[in-house]
Amino acid sequence: MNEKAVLVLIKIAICDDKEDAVALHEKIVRDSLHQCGISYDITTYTVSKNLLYDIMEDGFFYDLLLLDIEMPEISGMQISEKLKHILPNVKIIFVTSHTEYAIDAYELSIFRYIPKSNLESKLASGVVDAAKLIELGAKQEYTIKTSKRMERIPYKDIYYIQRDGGKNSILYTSTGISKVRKTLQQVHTELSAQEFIFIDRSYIVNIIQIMKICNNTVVLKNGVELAVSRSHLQEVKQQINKFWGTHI
Amino acid sequence: MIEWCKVLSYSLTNGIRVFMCLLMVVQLLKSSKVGRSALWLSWLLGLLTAILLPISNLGIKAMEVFAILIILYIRFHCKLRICTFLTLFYEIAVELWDFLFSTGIAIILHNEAFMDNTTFEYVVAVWLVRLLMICIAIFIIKQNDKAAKAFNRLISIISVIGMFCILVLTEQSLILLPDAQLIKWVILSVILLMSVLFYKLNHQYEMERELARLKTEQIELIESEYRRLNRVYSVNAKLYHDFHNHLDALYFYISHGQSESALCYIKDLRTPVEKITRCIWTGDDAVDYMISSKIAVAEHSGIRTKVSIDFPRHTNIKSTDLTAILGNLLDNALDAMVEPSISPYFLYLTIRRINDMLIIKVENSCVEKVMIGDADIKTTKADTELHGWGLKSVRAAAERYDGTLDISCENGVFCTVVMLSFEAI
Repeated sequence: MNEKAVLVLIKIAICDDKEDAVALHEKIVRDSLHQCGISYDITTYTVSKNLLYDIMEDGFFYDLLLLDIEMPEISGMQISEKLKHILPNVKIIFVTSHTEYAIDAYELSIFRYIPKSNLESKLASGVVDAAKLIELGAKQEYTIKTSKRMERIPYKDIYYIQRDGGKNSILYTSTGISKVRKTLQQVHTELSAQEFIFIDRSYIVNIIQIMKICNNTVVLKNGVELAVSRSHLQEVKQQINKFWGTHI
Repeated sequence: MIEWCKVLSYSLTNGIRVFMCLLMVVQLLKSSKVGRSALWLSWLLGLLTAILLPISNLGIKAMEVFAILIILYIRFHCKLRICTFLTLFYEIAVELWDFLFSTGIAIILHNEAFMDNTTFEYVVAVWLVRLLMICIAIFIIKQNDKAAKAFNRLISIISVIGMFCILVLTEQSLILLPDAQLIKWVILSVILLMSVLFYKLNHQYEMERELARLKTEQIELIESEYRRLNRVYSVNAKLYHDFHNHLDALYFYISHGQSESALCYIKDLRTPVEKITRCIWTGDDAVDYMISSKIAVAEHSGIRTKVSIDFPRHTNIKSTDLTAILGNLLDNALDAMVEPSISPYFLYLTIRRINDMLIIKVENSCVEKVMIGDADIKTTKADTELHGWGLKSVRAAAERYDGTLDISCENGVFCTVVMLSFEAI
């Protein structure tokens, strides 16, 4: 049995130079996440330099940042720029007083822009959507047990799995490489999750890690490109389509 | 004993010939695979023709062609006319190559026995041709994706070489062949070459026609949206032009203490402006206006709507493709809402950016009886010629971005999801 329900705690940081704005945002986040039954942990900041210091110097980890884009000392956009390398998977929600901001295609970490004019509903839905995506694949872990070690890898950290010879598989994860003495088919059955699909007879890929499809290759978040066999291509596209269709 | 051997051998050669024909036709028309069942069917047919051979050569040939056509029509669902064309010319080609091989070997080995139908040597020659066919079949099956292209090339090469060989045969003087036979084969090989050319031209024509139809549909869609946008902007222009008149009227109302009437007057004036500046969804004016207007139509008909759009800027997604996709999907959703059996109506549009992919989802209430057959929704609209193209257009647009379209209908919700992969520019 390789499935174990894991408690997922979403770490959120809220930063705004106005105290009452921070309090309001915090209340909205608490209410909306409480309604969905998602566990969270909120840290608030009124000085953006402190937030940066905590993350860059003290190694604080956050899943979701809720920032005011018009803060005086360092603007929201600059923060996102600086954190790109330290927290590559962080999701950033900007609160802005303008209505025309939009996510730029090359800014992956900007999840959404919330206009101050429609704060309550848009922020609630934005936080819930972000939380659901962060939770995706974090609740389940794959256990590798050998005589020497026991390893637990959260599903969302697995990029892809490659067939290694006849009866073994190699898992490529965000922390490195793990080998298992199981066939690819066995691993797939054990994972039993919608997000792991066969793109080829020798590769299983985690849909959550797929950046895009380019011609016949699947491009993953870590830059790896894997070719999809022609006979599987349409089916792979359909599976990815179906998966995200049910999760947005 | 020998008779039985002969029958078996003929059944196998005929079987291979039939199988090759099925493979070729299915590959050219459908680009799909033939299953194992095709192998068995071919062998059975080969056996049948081998047993019945002594009856009448031409009659048996005709029966074989008919049987192949029936298999293709029933089992593989191919169009009858083009199948007949391909099968007939295939049979001619096989006859030609059997003749070429048997005569060729006869010339090389100086043994006229090869050319005689009834000798063992002839059977050997035929087997050589069949072995060649098996090699081609394996090559095609292995090729998978490029099979269709490879096949086309192969067919052209074979027909040209066949023609060349026939001409060589007419010129050689090592073995004397009856003139009538030679002329017959020369003419048939020329006809074969012509038919290959004809088939290729036809194929090209069909593809271009389909492309042209898609483009026209797309252009029509964009044109109508553009015209609507123009109309609204021109209404606005008139508004500013009449501004001083409106100011006079307002001055009159307010100076006479009729603030209520003044308010009503202003409300009336504001409506066209509101329509334009209401929402920025994607940043593309035409697309945004189209979404707003379709949602407005839905709301006006009492349909519950929800629009939730996160659209990234500076992508390589063209405005025309986005219009085609969203326009068609929303039109389909709106058209579905005229059925009285599916209230309360709802229409939800969600667009999200996930990594470097864009996911567009349209959900609307639906009748359960939508037919999802053969990977395309059969249209329930009266005009089958033009409609139903909407989804094809969407799929074509999506495929330009390595994307796809998925349709599902369950629990009274008809859900269309389109996925596109984009690049930042």
